[in-house]
Amino acid sequence: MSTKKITLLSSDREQFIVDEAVAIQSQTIKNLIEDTVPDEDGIPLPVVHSRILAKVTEYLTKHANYKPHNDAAKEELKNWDVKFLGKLDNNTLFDLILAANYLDIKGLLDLTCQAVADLMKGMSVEEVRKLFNIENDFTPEEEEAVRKENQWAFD
Amino acid sequence: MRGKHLCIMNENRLNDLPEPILHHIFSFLPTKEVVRSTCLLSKKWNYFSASLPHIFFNINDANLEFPCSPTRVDQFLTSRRGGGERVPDLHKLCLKWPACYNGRKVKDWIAMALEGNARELDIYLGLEGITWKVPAKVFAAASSVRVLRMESCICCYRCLFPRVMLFAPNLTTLELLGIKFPNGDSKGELVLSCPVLETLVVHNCYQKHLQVLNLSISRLKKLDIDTRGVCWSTHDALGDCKLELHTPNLSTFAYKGVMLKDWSIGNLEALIEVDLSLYLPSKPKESNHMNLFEGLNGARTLTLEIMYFDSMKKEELTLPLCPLNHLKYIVVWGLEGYDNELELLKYLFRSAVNLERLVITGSRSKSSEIETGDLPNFQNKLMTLSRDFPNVEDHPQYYPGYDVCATNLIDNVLYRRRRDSPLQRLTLSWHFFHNSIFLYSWMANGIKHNLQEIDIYFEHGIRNLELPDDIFGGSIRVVRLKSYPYTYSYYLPNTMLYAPSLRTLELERFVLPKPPNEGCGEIVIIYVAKLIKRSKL
Repeated sequence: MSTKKITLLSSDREQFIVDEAVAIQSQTIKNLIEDTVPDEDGIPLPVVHSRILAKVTEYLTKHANYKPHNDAAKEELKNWDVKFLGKLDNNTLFDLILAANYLDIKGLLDLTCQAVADLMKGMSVEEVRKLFNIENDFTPEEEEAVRKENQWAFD
Repeated sequence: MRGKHLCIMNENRLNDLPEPILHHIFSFLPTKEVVRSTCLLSKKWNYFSASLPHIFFNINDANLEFPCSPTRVDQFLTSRRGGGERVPDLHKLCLKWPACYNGRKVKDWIAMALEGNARELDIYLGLEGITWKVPAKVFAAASSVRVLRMESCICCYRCLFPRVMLFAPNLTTLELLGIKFPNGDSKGELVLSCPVLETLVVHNCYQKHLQVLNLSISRLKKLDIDTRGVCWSTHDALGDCKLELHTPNLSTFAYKGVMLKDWSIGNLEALIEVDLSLYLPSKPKESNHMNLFEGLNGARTLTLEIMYFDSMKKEELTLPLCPLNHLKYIVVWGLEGYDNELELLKYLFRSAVNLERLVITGSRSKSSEIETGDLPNFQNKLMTLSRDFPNVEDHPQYYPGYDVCATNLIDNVLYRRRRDSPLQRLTLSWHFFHNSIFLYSWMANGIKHNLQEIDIYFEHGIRNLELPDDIFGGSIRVVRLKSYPYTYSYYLPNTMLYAPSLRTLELERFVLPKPPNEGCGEIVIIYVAKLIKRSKL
């Protein structure tokens, strides 16, 4: 494995030094390394805050160094992912989705999107509104009509 | 300064996510649940579900989450058409219908998906109901479908594999789970040759009626075959079917399950990673391991897992015998301590001439029962062993550990050593030590090779052990011996007292030797000192 180090620069100019093999799991970073002359402080990632980049590199480091060779090892990696998600609050989770999307890290994007989907499973409409702070702009009559129209989904 | 996106901490996060991400999030939920949780959120969200690119229905089965009736699926898909014009583009249609009695409906839905240019189809028709074939349109040249996953329950094989699929021009990924292959030609051969297929998954499919399953797929990169589900069932779904691979671009190959009767493997130039989990057959059929191992010889990494049927007896294992020239890294999982496993490991040692690393782990599944030959009750431990390959000869150190299997390996390492190749250090970390004869012979062998340093740790095992005299003989300069706190009955030999070259001695919880002749002052001093740990003697 290459031990070349890459310095990543968060939006608040904090440096993260990681192995190249760790960094290039992000397609965006891989492209930046190949196509651009690096800033002397590192590769700038202007939309990712250090708080989030720390999480991203934690995920990437685990997944770069861990090549599961059998089902038990895959299971262990899965458990690590679950623990990793368990430590995140909802805001961090959404920030991570945006970061994974921007950095083009498929595994992390799937993991975080799945987590939001799981969060919503079985929640009442009111709970979903509250969780995501969505304002209800239906009048009671409209709401009733929409509910009737989609009654099958509520059965 | 904080990043811009952090300023929206407590605002409406779901509304702010770009649509592709929203679609991605909702692709993990059954469509019924998406409709339920989004239609009432706000006016903006009311029609969100009408344009969903991923549609996923669990039909008529209370065991699946958010089940709904076929009529609802009809209504939902029909409403997407709006005024009967073009269907909004669909990325993926996923249907799970464990008891499907209405194949017509499934056909209609797939037709709608094709109108919407669906790229992916994922169809599960299970336990009971009609026997069903994917419509031929899906495989036509004009079809938008690139990824197809078909699953049916093993044992009933309700989903059939249509012949046109054998050469489907657009498919890049094909996953077949519990599917029955169509009949072969007059010789019983079936050729799968989709021209742009890159990923093929075949799990627990029925192929008993075939003589040869021929995968001639020039672009194929990833092949994953698993027969573990069917090899336990009462009827034989595999039969004597031979597997033929003509896949020059294959880079990843996984085969898990019972050893097939025969293999024919063409030139796999691009092969990088091979993952084998083999159930060795309970009856020694003339199973042709050799073709498999030879065919995979170019792989850079081979992971090998060996498993047995319960009735497996040690004499029934036949071993592949061919050189594994390019093999550098082998991982063997799940050893249970049978003699034939040792034979296999010996074989790997003999044939993998360029082996750099061999990692062996014991089985965890049988940890509670100790039988003859079984690994005793201890955790899944790792054993890494190197032998006298040119690149490690400068530092001849061995770290076999923990396993009963180790004994034969160490034998192999020591006896195969060239006479003129000196052994500097032997390190053994052994949880379950059960046979002192091995230790005796290793010592003797080590001494022959001018062994200088010995480092041994025992945890459990036979209650009383007298270490061989040789341990302090000849060229030995450094000895470190440790045992488990509660087993004090490991006796050191008298020769320790006269060890000619000994410079360093570290002992923990071994019984010191009795003085051979009373009155020998030097010995008494050591004995009285109750030496537990001491260096620089």
